[in-house]
Amino acid sequence: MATPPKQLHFGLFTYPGGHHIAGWRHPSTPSSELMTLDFWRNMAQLGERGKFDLFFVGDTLFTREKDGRFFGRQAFSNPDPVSLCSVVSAVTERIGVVATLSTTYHEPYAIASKFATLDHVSGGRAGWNIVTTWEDRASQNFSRATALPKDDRYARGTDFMRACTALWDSWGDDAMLMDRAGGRFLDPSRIQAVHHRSDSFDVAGPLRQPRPPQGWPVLVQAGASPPGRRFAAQIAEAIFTAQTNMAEAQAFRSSTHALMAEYGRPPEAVVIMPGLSPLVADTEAAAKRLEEELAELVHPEVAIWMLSENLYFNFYDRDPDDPMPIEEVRASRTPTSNGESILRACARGNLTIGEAARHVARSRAHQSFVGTPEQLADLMQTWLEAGACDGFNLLPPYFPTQLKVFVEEVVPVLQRRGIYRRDYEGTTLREHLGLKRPPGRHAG
Amino acid sequence: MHLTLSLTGHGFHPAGWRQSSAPAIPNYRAQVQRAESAGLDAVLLGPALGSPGLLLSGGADAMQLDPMPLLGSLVPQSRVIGLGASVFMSHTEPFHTARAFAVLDNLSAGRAAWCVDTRQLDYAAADFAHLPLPATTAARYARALEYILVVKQLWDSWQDDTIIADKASGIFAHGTRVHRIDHAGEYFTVRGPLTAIRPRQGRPVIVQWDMSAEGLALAAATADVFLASCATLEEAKAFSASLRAATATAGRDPAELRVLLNLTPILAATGPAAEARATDLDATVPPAAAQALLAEAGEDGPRSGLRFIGTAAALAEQMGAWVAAGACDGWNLRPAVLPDDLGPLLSELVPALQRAGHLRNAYAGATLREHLGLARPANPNAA
Repeated sequence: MATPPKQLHFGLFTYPGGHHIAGWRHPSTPSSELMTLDFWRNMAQLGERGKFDLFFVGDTLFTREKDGRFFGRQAFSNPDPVSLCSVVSAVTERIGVVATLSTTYHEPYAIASKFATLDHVSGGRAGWNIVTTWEDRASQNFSRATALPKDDRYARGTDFMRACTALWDSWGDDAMLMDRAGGRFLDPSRIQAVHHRSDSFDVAGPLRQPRPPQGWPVLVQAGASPPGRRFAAQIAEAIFTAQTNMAEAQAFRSSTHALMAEYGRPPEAVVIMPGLSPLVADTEAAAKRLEEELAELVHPEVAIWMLSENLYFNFYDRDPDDPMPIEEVRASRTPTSNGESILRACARGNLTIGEAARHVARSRAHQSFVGTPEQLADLMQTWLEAGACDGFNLLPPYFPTQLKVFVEEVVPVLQRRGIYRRDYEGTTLREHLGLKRPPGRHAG
Repeated sequence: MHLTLSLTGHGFHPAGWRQSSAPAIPNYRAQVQRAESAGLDAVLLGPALGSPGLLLSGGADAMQLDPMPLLGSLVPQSRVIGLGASVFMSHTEPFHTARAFAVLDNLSAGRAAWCVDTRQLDYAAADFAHLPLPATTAARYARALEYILVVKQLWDSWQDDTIIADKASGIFAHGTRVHRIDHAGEYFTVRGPLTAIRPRQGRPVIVQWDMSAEGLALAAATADVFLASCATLEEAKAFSASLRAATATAGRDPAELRVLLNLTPILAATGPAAEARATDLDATVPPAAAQALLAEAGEDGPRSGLRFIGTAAALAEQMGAWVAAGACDGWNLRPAVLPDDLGPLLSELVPALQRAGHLRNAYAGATLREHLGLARPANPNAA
């Protein structure tokens, strides 16, 4: 019997208005309703109609500014991710809900409890995108003048995760008894304190709630720097990554698997999902027109602002027709991995500053696609079969229209090709992603 | 009068779970919907009732889901009732708290309440033993006050009319209507602005219940609703009077504060039947749980408060009389057995209060502030 073809996994990367910086200006975007329940319900339910694995909420802990003042030429950033995911979990039945949350300005006990609750109220659909916070502007909202140094952030992050997983495992799956006649609410022998003591934390435990339905929420990671990738190799069960080139994506995936092997983890313990921003229409020409239409909506001030923010380099006083000063940018401050991927794209395309600004405005660091449903399905199938990914985290350029187009026009093509589910087979996010449930300390 | 409902797992009574029909994780959604059908002002989630000692006795429901994601999951399942969640101050950041409540207030179209938990419990501290804790009671409350003032400033950091979403001009939000707070205090340094637009209610309703002298001063300066635990009418009258006086001293109009009395009703069709129910509940607290409760009796107890044993009609009469006597503006119900006690409370007590003219028959407003008759706060940044 032939092996069934490998299946794609999809994340719905949400963003108010859309991922294109001018998405909120598209005539179809309900831009005055971005903070209403209806907007988010519609989005999550569309994702569920498309049988997506997960609904994903990113996070920013500071507002957009230019020269120290709020910069209002764009839609606001995401609502508080855990709050939004808990709301969305109540208007959906199957799709996973993944919230981004930083280990830098939170406490492990509180966060273990938060995600355990999200997993309970969603019936086993919670995931946690684990990040560390490096922006000084964010740290200034948390009584610190500057961010923690990178190595300290990851040391704290790793330690944070040890404490959280110990807390999730502090109850056996069978600890609840509800023996009303016998007066035994739970079995104390199935609950243990954790006594997690380390350089960063001293946490007694146990958690005050039953083990989450998934054992642990699905652990997601997106860091691309060397310490970030090592962190991911140890703990991540899903990895979001910015990859614009298939060969680089293949190398990323195989080196991730190799790094995981150092920690005794098999390749199937992770699902790797590069970001992809698809702009889809019935014909290639129509899709290109949409792309131009969106590009026209980007105010030049916004594009240059975005490039400056992403590369930590001031482009405001430069001529947009000058070539990108790639080496000057690199020399002024070591770029983030996101910034480096932008610079590589600039080098490949020989871009001017204006072109680079438009490129960033279009897709940030992620791969963008413009074309027909069949062409997009070709790209996805090629990447999947070449071992460049296990699926994609999708960043529709404007909501909800481009998500609807993807769900109605692209998903059926992938289903006909046999590389995407026709319906959910399981009920938990772990089941959608094909991940094992952690057994816990009390098992067996 | 105003009426709120605290949902605490399987019930407020330590033996409540033995009579509860709920599964291990109760169905909060159904309970909120029933409270909404009865027209209650708000449902309040938390505070945590259980120590690890009580939990590990195995004989009591000392579970504690995080009230914030729980509240979020109830937002789309209800339309008009207020939703409150308890948050510990001791180990949280005002920025995160302000943001989460701002978002939930907007997604619920103005129904969120922040229940401030000022406690610094020994057992809770053990989960955060690496954190520096305020050394004195005075420091603890100074920090609490600063925390609340920071949260309020963050809620005000976006003016109400900031978002215009003007597609033609490409202006989404007025940059001049978003403000840094640049707070630099003894306990917190917060730059702002908040990463969330101003809440629908201006500021979500702030609920407090700390009965200590310091807690009273904090509430006088910052609370919208106070949940008081008093054993007698005289005690309640005296407490309300002193809280109102302190509110005036703090420079606020005492009419801006609602005082609700915590109440656990144990109801039955007749007085003797109710007495028998109470006796039965008290007698069925498992011994290990009873011992654990005794051991932690010294902690600031959220379990204190008034208990009423009798019929719904008699309770309705007493509730009305106490409000008329100026002892309170209403009541916070903490049912002994959940969800089962909601039956008599919502289908007998509430209609009796409505018939007597103590309670409105339907919601008049859309937001929790409107239910409570509290004004929407002006934004100082808009002046």
